[in-house]
Amino acid sequence: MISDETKYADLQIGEQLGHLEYVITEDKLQLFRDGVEYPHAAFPSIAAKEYAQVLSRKYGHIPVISAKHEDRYYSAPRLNKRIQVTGWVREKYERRGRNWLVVETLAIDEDGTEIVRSRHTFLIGRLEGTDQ
Amino acid sequence: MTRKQVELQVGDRLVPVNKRVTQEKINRFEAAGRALITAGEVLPAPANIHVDAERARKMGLEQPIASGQMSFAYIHEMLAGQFGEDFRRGGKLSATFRKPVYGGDTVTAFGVVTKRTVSDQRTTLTLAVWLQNQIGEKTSVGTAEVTIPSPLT
Repeated sequence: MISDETKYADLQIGEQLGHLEYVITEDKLQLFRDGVEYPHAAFPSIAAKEYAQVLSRKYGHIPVISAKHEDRYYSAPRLNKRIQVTGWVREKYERRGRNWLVVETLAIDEDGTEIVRSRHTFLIGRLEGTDQ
Repeated sequence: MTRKQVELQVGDRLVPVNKRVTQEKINRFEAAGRALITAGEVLPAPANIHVDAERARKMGLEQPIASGQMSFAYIHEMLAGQFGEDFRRGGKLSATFRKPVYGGDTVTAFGVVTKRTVSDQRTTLTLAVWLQNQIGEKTSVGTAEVTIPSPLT
C-alpha cells in the first residue's frame, strides 16, 4: 500500500490531476439547498469538494483538511448538463512539519460554458480525519 | 433599509446571514455533496471528521466539525443574496477557515465594503467577509469582489 507521504512526494507542481464528471439534477440541487437552508442556492458544486475528488481519482483516497477556498464564478451550472472538472497542482510546501497542497480546479459544462474556477489550499495526509 | 447594491459605499455592511448549525445539518450537507457526484442516490457520507465522532476525537476534536465548504456556502449566500446575478456571474470569494464550527453553534456571515471603484459605468466593490460564531470568534475570514453590472451579463 502506498503511503500518503509517498503520494505527496510524487505530486508535481503543474501536474494535471484526475477528471471528474457529474450531472446536477433538480433532485440533487434540492438536496444541496436543503443542506444549506437556502432555497436560491445556485452553486451546489461547493459541497462536491471537487479538489479532493480530482486528487483521489488519480492517487486514491488521501485524507485532507481544507484550509482555504477561493472561487471565481462565471455562470451557475444548468440542470441536467454534464459538468466536467479538471484539476491541477499549483503549489506544494511543508509548513510546521505538515504537507500542504494547493489545487486549482476548473468546472465547465458539456457545452463548454465556464462555471467556476477554484483554488483550494489544504493539509494532506498524516492525520486520520478526512475532508472528503 | 438597505442601499441599492450600486450605491454601497466603503464602510457599508451587507445584510448578515444567520445559521444555526446542527449535526443533522452537517450530515445533510455531507450527504448532499456525495449525492452530487454519484448517480444521485442519497448515501450516508463516508466516515470522516464531519460526521463521525470517533474520527473527530482521534483528531483531537471534541466532536465532529462542519466542513469549511459549509461555512463557505453561508458566506456565499450572503453575497448572492445581496448581489444576485452580478455575483453569480463574475463574482469572487476567498475564505480561510480559522476555527472549527460545531453542531450546536450559531454562525453569522458578515460583509463590509472596503473599496469601491467606478469605471466604464461599472462599480466594483471589494468586501471583507467573515463568519462569526455565537461567542464572537471569527471562524472564517476572507474577501469578496463583485462588479455591478457584471461584465459577463
